Amino acid sequence: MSSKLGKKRLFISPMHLLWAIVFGGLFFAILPAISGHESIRSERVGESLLVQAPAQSGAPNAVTAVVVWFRGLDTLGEVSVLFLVAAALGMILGRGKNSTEPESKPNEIVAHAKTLVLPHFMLTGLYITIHGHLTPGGGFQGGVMAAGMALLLILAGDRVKHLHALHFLEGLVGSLYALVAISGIWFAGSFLGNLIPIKTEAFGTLFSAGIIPVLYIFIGIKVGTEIISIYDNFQRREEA
Amino acid sequence: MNLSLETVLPAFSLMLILLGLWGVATRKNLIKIFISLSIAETGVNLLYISMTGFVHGKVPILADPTVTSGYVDPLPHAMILTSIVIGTAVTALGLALTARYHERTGTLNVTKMKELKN
Amino acid sequence: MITVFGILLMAMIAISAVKAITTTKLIDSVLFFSFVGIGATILFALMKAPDVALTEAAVGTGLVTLVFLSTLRRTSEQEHGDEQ
Repeated sequence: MSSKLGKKRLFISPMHLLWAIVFGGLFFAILPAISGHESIRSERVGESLLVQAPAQSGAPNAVTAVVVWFRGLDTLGEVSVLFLVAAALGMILGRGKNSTEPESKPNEIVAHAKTLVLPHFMLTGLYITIHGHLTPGGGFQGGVMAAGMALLLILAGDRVKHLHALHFLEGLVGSLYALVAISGIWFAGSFLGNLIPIKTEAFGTLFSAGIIPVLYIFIGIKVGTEIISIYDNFQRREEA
Repeated sequence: MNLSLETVLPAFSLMLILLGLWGVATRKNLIKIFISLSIAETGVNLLYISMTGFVHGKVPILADPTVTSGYVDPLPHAMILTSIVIGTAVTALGLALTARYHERTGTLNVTKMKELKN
Repeated sequence: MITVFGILLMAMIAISAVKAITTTKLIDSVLFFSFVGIGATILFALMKAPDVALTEAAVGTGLVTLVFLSTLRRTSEQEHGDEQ
């Protein structure tokens, strides 16, 4: 096949290397302006975020405060993009029948170890999701880890039987996210406003960050169900 | 010239980005093209995180709400967190289209795609 | 010490990336790409970004590799990756 296509095009001409060098020189010329090492540190956005994050959101983890509190609308859009991809995958790949038995026998070790490993996946995902405002992690990571449980079951030969329940859970959680965000307009004065009061005296405990853990649980469930449905769509086979 | 991680990482990220773009331009297999695109995306993520001033800073998890200096910049972390998830979604969508195309035509070679030529 | 470790890690990532693009078998390519993701995870952790490291480990390395392997299984009936 490759003989018909002619000889290999590996490194084509010295001009390309020259362009790479020119591009690299331009890159390093403008890099200090982008990275802002010359700007005064107290004028950077990150510094004021660090100052405002504990007082406004009550979360010790500044990254979580930015993702869920300052940029909560963006996160809603991001979860919507994931939902769009899952829906598009269902349209592209979901034509085939979901075969109930796998075409090859699953690995013996996987089939026996799944009951042993399964609770640990769930517990780790749940812990990382709930403690997203205290420790590194959050809804995305915990949701993917908890969905790893379902991916392991699919690898071990099981199939998703109640796909409608999965889609219903996904839609319900997405609607709850939007509902909590909109009800913030009435009860707290702004979109995604803090319905639950922040306890500043209990800074760094589990119930101190207002609606951030609630929103992160919603995000975790939504991301997990979407990843299960994406992977399940990849496992479908076209009917011959 | 002092050789610290903060000075080496931008050059390394640029190398990964250029390597990925070169792979996108010269490979012929669709799956190879998506792998190259993901490598370029990893380079972009490393470039953003390398700008946070991480040599003299601490992990941005505050122990005391009144002490807010001495931490790294949390803004690139939040942006790259979004970027990784969206990149994964884009890769999954592209690979699904690739698998579907292969079921239709039986090839993954981009030089053999004749559907849009007239 | 951390600088030396980081530079060794970057060399490993660079070799893995070149191998992932230039190797001929697609399954080797996917595995070398997952090496790139693992190295980037450790680099993120070295750069004091534990959130990004967790995301890259769970989403960027685990899930993307699974999706690539599923696509390989779907498309590997007739043609193997003989194109470079």
